[in-house]
Amino acid sequence: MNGLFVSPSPHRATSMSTARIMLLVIIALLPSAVAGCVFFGPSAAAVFAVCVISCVVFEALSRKIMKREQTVSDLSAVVTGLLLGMNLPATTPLYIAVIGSFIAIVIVKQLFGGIGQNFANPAIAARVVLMLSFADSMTTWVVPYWYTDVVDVTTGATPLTASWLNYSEGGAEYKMAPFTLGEMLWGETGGCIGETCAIALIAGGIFLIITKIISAATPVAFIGSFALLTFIYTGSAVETVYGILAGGLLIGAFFMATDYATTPVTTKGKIIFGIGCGLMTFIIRNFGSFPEGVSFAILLMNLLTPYIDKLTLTKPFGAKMPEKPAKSEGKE
Amino acid sequence: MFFKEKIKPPLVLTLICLITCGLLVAAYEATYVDTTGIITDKLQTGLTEVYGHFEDFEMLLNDDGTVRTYDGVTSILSDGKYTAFEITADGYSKGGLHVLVGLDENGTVKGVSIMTIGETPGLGTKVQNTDFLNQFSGVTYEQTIETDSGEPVKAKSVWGSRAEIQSLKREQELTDTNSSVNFTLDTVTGATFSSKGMYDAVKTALAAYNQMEGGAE
Repeated sequence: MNGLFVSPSPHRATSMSTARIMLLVIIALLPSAVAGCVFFGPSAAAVFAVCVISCVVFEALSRKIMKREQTVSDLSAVVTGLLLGMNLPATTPLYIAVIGSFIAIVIVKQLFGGIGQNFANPAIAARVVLMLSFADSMTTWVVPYWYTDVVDVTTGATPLTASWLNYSEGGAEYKMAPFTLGEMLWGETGGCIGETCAIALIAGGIFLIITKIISAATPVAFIGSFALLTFIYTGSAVETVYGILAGGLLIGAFFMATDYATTPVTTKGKIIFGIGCGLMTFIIRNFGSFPEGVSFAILLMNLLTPYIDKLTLTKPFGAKMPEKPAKSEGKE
Repeated sequence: MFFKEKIKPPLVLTLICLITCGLLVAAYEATYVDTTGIITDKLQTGLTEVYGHFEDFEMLLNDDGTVRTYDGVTSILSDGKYTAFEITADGYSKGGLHVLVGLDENGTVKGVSIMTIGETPGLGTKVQNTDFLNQFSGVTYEQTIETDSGEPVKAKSVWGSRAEIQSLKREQELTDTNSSVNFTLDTVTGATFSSKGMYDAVKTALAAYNQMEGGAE
């Protein structure tokens, strides 16, 4: 953008550029990406490589074809590629990863004008499209360390699809979680490459909050509302914690529901957005036919963002809201 | 002004929808072929899939010449030895599963054939998988009767260690394989409703057969 443009106050120059923000996001994503590669092996690394490279190539090509200023160096395509890769199963065929990158970068991002103009989070939208188009590949889950010779089964249930184990002891009925608390925290469970390692995701999220890249409002509202609803519904702290650690809730809350372009600007708006995501995730997980609802929830709330922004418009101090045109004058 | 901005656009859209629906209904009515009482190509394919042949099968009729039906069963086909039931069951979409459940001479399930499926492509349609369908073979009416376990006990959820989880899993597998009393359905991941719909179809067929054997003759 070379022309002059007017933006609202405050006008303050900082060293924070888009590229720097994106770099910090990449750093925050790395621990869980690395964990994913450790758990799911070389094929996970290949999915990452293909996603990142194809996202960058698609970004560069589409800017060139559209004769727009080149934006590859702002690293946003790298973040999109990384996020998309983290949201795919490790065994995703690589051509599907390329299709996903195309949808994310070309269709969702560049056709709407590039960075800052997209209506939905590119990685989320691409994941949903892939989920509906290639349901089979997108729901095949390998177990951690499947690429080594140690495990004899290769595919297994994820925390969201595994059934709880019933048993009774001393006349009371119990339901045991299919994964241990340690496995859930550490991420040694089936799932998308980058969503399983809860500790790494939480660490990355806290890093972004401390460096003020993201506001804590959305993740707190998202996870909090989901936890509250789950606790009311199940009446069990174990199931609530399990639900938070399972699936894409953490990666969604920290990294995708906090995207600048597609989420509300004001803190009030961010809280509404987070609660909406939490509510929809809860509904889809418990009453829908899909085991996971995080991506649908974020995508739907992305679409509501313009309305949330409109409703939570901050009133400049001392300013008067524009009055509605008077219907009739001098009635008194 | 108010009418033009707020009322007119939705009104026009509603009208367009109504007219389109009307045309659709008209087209459906005009081209509808009543296949009641006829063993259609789909039924023939279904029968061949289950029994290997369809030639000797006839549709059972009531005394007054109408097609014999049961609760949930559209038609019954029999060659004197085997009985097959045409059933439309609800999967994820209402009436999304149009299946033929074939029983053998003893009244146990011989095979299930899906004639048309209107489920979510890629997810619900996974129930067409032979591994999934094969689990119904040999299921008897007795196995599908739900045992009333009384008031559901609210189980307390707990965390377990890996060893505890493994031993519970092993225990459950053992009881599953040893129990001949109840049929346990292995649902297809991501297609829970469709899987349950298929099981409902099998249950309906077995119940209808049981009713036929017990009541009519």
